[in-house]
Amino acid sequence: MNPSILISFLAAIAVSIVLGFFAASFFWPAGLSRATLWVFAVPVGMGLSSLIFFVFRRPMFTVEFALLLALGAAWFFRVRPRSSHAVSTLQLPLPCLFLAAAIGFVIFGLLFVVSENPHGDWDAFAIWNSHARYLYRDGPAWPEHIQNTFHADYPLLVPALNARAWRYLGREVPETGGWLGLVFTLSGLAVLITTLVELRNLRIAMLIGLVLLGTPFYLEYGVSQSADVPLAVYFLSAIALVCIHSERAPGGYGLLVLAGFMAGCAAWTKNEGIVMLIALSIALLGRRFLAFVAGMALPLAANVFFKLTIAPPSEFTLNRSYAEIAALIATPERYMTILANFAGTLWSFGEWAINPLVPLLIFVGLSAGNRHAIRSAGWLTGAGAFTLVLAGYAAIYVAAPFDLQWFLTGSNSRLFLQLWPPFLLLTGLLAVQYPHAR
Amino acid sequence: MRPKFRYIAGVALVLCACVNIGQFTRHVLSLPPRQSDDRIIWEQRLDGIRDALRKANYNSGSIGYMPAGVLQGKPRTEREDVDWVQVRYALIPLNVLQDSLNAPYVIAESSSAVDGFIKVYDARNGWVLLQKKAQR
Repeated sequence: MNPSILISFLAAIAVSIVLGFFAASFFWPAGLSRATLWVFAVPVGMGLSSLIFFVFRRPMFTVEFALLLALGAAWFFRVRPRSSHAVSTLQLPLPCLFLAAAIGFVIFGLLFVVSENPHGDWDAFAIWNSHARYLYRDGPAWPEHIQNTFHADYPLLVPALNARAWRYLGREVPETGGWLGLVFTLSGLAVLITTLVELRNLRIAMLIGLVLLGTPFYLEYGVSQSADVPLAVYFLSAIALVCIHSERAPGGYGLLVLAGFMAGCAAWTKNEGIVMLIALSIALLGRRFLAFVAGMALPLAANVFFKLTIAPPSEFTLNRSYAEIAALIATPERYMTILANFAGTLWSFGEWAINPLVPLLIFVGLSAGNRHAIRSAGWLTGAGAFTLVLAGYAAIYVAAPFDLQWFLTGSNSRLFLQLWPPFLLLTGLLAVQYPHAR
Repeated sequence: MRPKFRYIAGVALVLCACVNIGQFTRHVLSLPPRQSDDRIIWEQRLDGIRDALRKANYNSGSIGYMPAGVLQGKPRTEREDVDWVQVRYALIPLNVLQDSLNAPYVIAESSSAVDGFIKVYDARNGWVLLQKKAQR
């Protein structure tokens, strides 16, 4: 691999992250750690970069660097946080070093996967990378010609990021999709661990982080260049920010604006993200809802514009009658099939050698000493949104216009993967902070 | 008693993670080599044809795709279906029409002449680029 390719790719990622940092710092409460802000800067920056590429395309560099300068100047003179705590003051105990070593080992494996399989899996090249190629190769004609691909109605966060990376590199390099996937995979892990450190303790954070790191399907699919892991990261980040808002900064609005942006980016990543956005909106109704809506406005506007002016109708809605959908809804066997499939998938989707669910639930059950977490508005909102998304997925299966068993077999593992990191966060938050566990 | 069981459950979680990371490593080591990836094979196979199209300034529009079997009138195989998706991917932003001669240019798996077309490029790997003859 040519070193200049790697340097250009790292520059593209660095610009995204710094943009995300400056933008998120406007909404970041003064009392929270700067290290945590850097962790959330990754998904924020990726979302912003994708939107800039989609909206501006040719003058992308000008817009990015102008925004970087403007936000940087504003941060330096007005926003710069005064203090930092938590993560920066932690001494690195043995579990931390063990996790760091495991992450290093896994990164090596993931880079090898990208090198051997640079175009990703079937969905990756037939859908996501094809869309990226249209965005990169086809100039202003892309909205018309992208209709020739499979699932041209799928949102463009991941393809736009890939095409943007090629702009930085000056040419197409197939590996960039996998490298972006690696960034999202690690970002999800970082959001999970940092949120649990911020709200509970380091030991619980390390253990729950290890469970995610020890999920082979999360790792493999993270670099397979599909959009499921980025989607999981955005849903996780939105729930994490709602929980941090509730437990650490209940008086402010900023974290809910960021949570709204994450939810909007989820909808800009995959159509399932729309279910997540609706679920979070319902769960948050009445609790500073306007801040959440303000945050989602930008990515939602891009998505609505894309859906109304470029995307063809979804295959879920095309040529369907109410009578046909009503008949599907009134078929009890479909519900039984879905429930049975959900139960089976829960046990197998991670492609584990040993399923960690039982020891995880025992550990959390023994750590949950009181009802502190369940009384938290943030946890209740996150759990409510999670339940609504699961119910939404089930409802989509019930009304889907395909052979149900085929559809479940082909997609259900990926849906469970999208929900796995948020599930781990909500489960980890149930554990109580014991003084000796610090 | 409770802290002891919690400790055991924590150790079990760490062990699970180690075994699962081992499972991931086994998967990584069993991956087929990059050179055997169909997408890479097709990208290389169509390199010359893409250049020929670029030289002809044909960068947008439809292009026909005709595997040998279909050209000889046999029914399309599953393999040919998969190949068409790979060709589509390689030739973006062109719109690759499956089993069709109804385009200004056609990629065909053929060593003999095709009625109504002239050969503009031979990739020397079984695939040729044909151009529709101008109608009088």
